[in-house]
Amino acid sequence: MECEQVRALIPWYVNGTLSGDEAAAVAEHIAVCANCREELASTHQLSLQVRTAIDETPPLPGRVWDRVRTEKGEVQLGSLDLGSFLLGLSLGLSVTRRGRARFTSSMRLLGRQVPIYSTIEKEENSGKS
Amino acid sequence: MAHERDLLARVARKDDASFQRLYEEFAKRVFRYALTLLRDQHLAEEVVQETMITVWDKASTYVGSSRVSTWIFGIARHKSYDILKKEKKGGRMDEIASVIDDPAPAIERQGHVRTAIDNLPPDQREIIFLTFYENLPYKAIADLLDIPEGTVKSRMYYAKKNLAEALS
Repeated sequence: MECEQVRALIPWYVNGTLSGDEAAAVAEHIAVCANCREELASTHQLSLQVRTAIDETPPLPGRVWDRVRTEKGEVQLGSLDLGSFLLGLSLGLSVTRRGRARFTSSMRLLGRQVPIYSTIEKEENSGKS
Repeated sequence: MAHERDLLARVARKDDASFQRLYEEFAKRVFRYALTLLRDQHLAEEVVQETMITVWDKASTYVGSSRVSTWIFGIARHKSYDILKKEKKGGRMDEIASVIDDPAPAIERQGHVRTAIDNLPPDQREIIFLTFYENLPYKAIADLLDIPEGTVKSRMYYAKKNLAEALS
């Protein structure tokens, strides 16, 4: 494989999605080509920078889930939010399009929402067992 | 991937809990993709909303020939361009022009690299996001964008060149 072909594949060598044959050909070339090794190192560095930058995107607001749920037919009757952004508890009561009441609760840990209870999931799980 | 297909199959059977899990797995990723395309937080939220409703309504049409993520990103991509067209018809020509062409950002800047990415042309931003953030193979990107694999590679070439210049 020539340098030009290898360089065109390096971004996907870095993200680990080349086929076995392509990855082997790139690896073989890089082992003997200092310029392409340098290109690999800089592309790897760039991929890390891109990931970090995109990870810093503002969080998706919870209101979007409320809108999705409402639009697909689930109506929220009420909710209660306790604690802070870093540590808290959310409780909610809603009615699905099928007319079933749903109680949900989730914990908020370091800003991440972790579901801990849903009456519908509980019914479904007990129905399966 | 098998987990995602299983989840989507249960969503096709209108399983609310599975839909919520699918939302938790994909909504943030779709939001970041839409933000990369549109650079407008409110429009990106709209894309997430419309994409996830379409997933709920159309999950049964997923045929399994592509990754679930590629299928969902395909929907998000269409929604992003639909929203742009709708906004354009609504008379927000100047704002749309800024979203598409003007390097001036519509969202708050989050550092030098983010600025450099946002200043890339939209087709290059998209390739960078799908390759380095979503880790998609170039073949999947070509399918998603409906362009030849060679075009994916050439867009990446120019994107990397532009980023290197901006970050040097």
